[in-house]
Amino acid sequence: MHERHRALTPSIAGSYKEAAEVCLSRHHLPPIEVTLSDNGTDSPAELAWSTPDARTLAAWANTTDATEAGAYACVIAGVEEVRGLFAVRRAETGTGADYYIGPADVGLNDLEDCFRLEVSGVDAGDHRDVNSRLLRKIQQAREGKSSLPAVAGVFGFFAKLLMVQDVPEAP
Amino acid sequence: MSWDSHHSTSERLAIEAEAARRVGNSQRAEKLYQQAAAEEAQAFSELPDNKQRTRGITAVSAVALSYKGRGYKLAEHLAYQYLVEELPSFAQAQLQGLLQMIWTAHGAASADIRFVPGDVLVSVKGGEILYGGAPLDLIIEKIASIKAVFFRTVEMLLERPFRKRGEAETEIQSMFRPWLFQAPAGSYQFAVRLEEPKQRALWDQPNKPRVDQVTTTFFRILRASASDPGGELPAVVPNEQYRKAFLKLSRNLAPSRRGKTFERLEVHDVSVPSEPVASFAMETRERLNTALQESEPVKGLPTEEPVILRGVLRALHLDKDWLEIAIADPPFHIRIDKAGDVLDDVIGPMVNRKVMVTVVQRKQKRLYRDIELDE
Repeated sequence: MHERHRALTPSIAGSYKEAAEVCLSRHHLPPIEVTLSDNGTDSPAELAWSTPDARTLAAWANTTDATEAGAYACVIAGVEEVRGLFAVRRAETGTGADYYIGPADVGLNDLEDCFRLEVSGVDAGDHRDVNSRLLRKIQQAREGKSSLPAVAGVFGFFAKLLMVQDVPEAP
Repeated sequence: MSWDSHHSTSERLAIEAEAARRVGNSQRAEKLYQQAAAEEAQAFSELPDNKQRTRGITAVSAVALSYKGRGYKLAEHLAYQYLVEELPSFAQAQLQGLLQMIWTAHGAASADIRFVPGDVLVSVKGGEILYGGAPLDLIIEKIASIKAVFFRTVEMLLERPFRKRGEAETEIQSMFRPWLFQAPAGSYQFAVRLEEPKQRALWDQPNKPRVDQVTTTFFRILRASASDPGGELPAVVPNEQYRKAFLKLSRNLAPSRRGKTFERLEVHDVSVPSEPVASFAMETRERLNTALQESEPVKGLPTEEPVILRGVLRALHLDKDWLEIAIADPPFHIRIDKAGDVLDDVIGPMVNRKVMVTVVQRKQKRLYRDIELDE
């Protein structure tokens, strides 16, 4: 992923991938069919991964950390699949870091044409939980960072569902 | 040098800092964050005025990096400097939020207090809640409920017999003492930390759980209660009595359908503040009610139809099996019998608050079935 997504270093991409493998293996055996829902339009996709070994499982024993990191891998890969956008930059906030997405050639000299990516993961919930998390992320994006257009993405590991939705620029 | 080169260096340093923090090397992490902040501040200075969005994002990033590197003086200085610039509104709002975080962290550091993984951050949002302000009685009630979940968690981990009456034993209360901290404003937030007493030997016993064990279990219980009370919670809390107690205590954290005071309560692990561990909204309360109904055997006769009474909980004597609510219009008190099964720590925070009591009428008596907050 780091070769296509400029904001990801090899180690970050590797760590997100490991976490995603752990989260997916909690509920499924590879490969699986997942639903990619982009602004309400559904399409299927195949998702394959390597089954993690005991050492990797132990390293990602903290479910919260694993779900968060795993969601980054799945949402960034999913946004690339459905929209052809890449994680081009990363910038810090008080509570973490935001990724900025755009076509491969943007974000070199500024962030004027980039979208902020809001990422979230749901470990054990179903479609309803993924949807309600997406609505909450959209609400948070509108409350906290008005005037910055964003894309919110939520991946449900048990639900086999990626939901992506635009968060329009607030007036 | 350009914005691109400075920002790229800052990104790389920040990623290295985060990796160092994850493996517990906080000194190296802080140093790297400070270097990243310096690069980001340089990146900001390379930007022309017309690149408004990039200026805003870069300014926030520079202050955040300095804050994460515990360079509070520099972070504060940068925030003031950027706030007088013409930055977009999202950046101004985030810089103001960061300033509050910096003041809190700086104040805590001066008093030798440090937020650590496992600290619990509680945020209450919506309704009448303001940025940094909330009705006092609401917050006191939520703190009491959080404290009750903590002590029940400790009792469960110690495999103590289920407590039906009174507060947790002094021994338990002395093992872990919850502290309340002011937290950065963001709607209304407060932080709770479990601390072990300085003189540990007094309470040390072979099976005493560690603080991190208690907080991890506390988070798992609240997460399961909020997201999947019927499915995940039994795996976390196998004991049925404890499980029901946690369901009822968790329900106290969620707003009711009629409630206007707040819309959502979120519980965060301070080490992962961007994502709530558990979120309690109206629909959560409905899920918890369903789980409670499924866990309770149907009492009484099939012809007895449950009725919901709304009022203020004015009096109770659980040892004598009754409670009383006051109805405003017309003003009178209703006594409800067979209330002996209610747990003290569940009903305690409800005294003098609006409640909904589910009862069945049998002859001249109203018999208790359930009680929950109505706000």
